[in-house]
Amino acid sequence: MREITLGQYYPVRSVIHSLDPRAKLVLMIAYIVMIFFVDTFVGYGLVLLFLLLVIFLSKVPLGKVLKSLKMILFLVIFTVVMSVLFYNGNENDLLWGWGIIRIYSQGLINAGKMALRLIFLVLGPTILTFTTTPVQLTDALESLLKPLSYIKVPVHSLAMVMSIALRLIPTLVEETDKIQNAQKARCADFETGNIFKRAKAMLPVLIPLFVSSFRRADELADAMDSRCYRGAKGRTRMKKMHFRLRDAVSLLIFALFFFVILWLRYNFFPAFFDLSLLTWLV
Amino acid sequence: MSIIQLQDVYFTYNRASDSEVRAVNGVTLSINEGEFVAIVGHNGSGKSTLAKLMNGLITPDKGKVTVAGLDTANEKNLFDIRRNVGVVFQNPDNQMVATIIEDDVAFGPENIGMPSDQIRERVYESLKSVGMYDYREGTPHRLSGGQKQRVAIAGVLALRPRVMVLDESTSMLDPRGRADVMKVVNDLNKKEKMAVVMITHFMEEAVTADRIIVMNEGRIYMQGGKEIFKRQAELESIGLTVPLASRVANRLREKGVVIDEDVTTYEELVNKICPLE
Repeated sequence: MREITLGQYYPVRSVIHSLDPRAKLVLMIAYIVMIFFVDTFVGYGLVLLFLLLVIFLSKVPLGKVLKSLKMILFLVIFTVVMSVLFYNGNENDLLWGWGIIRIYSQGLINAGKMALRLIFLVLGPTILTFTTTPVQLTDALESLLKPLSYIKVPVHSLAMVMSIALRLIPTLVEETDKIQNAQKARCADFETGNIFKRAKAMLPVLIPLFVSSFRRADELADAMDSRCYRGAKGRTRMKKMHFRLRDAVSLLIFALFFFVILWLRYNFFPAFFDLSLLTWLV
Repeated sequence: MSIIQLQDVYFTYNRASDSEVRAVNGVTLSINEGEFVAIVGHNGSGKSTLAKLMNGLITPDKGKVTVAGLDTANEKNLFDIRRNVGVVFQNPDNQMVATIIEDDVAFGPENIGMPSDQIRERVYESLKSVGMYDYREGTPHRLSGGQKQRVAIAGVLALRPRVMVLDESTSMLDPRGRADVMKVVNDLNKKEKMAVVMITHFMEEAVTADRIIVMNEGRIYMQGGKEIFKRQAELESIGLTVPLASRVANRLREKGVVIDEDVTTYEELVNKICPLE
């Protein structure tokens, strides 16, 4: 059987893992908002320190976290190259010019900040998925969106759909394998030819998979009905999410950190401590 | 006292279309408290339709099904009916709701709105009685078929139904998984006094039942205790295979050997043959 990892959850016990998934979800969203307020290298340095601390606490190996940056590597390089090439600065800022290619030092700085912003944006959700199972995330989402159910948004049903989808992924992957093997045994060719040919070869796999998913859905619905399922009505949960002191503390720490970031940007107390005097703060 | 009662029940799939299939054709039967009933029949004999009729997943076209006095045709009764009649289906993969075993077993009790500490108690108890307690924090898709099916049984047990219906629940399992599931089911029936309706096409699984109902073409073809295994020719004519031990006993009887009691298992056969001269 093929090994299937759902998401990229890293199963260890740590402070970060044990936080209430709702708190983590809120923190992640706040973190993303915060990144857009950072505009100095000092700010990015602070965020980096903060992230390193969180990663250390989560006991997830740093290498694993950095690996997840691979998928945005191309995007980062593309962004950097483009913003360097198309930056229009003034001529005494010019570093190097050849034909129409002109590279300005300010352009390099901007590109660097843009790259950092992208990288930090990805790292937040990455740490969340390393420390929280998909099911926890679904439950957290259901709990947080609960107020919407008062305006008739089917929050419970949506969350149930999501968690069943997660539950069925390994089953469907296994079934795809089976169908593919059955067709290979009858000389179907999935490996050679260009991408269109291979996509076409997948069609006879997808159709039986599609049909059987409907049959599965039907049987699962019967099984759920038989076990007294009637939607959110009167339903309780065995595992309740608990908002504990540690969650409150981490929210508080993050709020403080967010405040520091905002201070760096807006220089709140010029009379008390004027940040604009620190000229190295670019 | 009877819990489930079917009174002259008819059911047709795809009614009023070209592909009309008459699945159940005038069946009257009742399941009593604590009883172990086996319903056997060939494919298309209507036996699985009976399972769905028993907990109101489908309602009869004609006739009446009642569970603990409640009519399955009334939608308001369905919730209470399903608390009383638990169904374990054929494919274990298609009845798991959660990605973690204990969460899956908790699904039923969660639906009936139990407080969370009581749910946990019931989940542990159910998992223990099917011998799957040690796996509670694992994921179901790593288990064997027999283990998955035992988890599915635990999921039904957690609701503490009065009747458990097993709709061909062993047909996708290997012999060992089948034996494990049968042991669990027999224990539940003997120790917990839970009524069991075992729907199967393996005659071997019917031998432990108090009562065997043989279905053919939507009708009850034969009904009784172990003595029905003597009617080998009739059973074979509707595509059912009599257990090997019974077949041997029947042949010996034909040859004039006196075997008066109903023989269905190897042990019984051995015990009957060895004292003979």
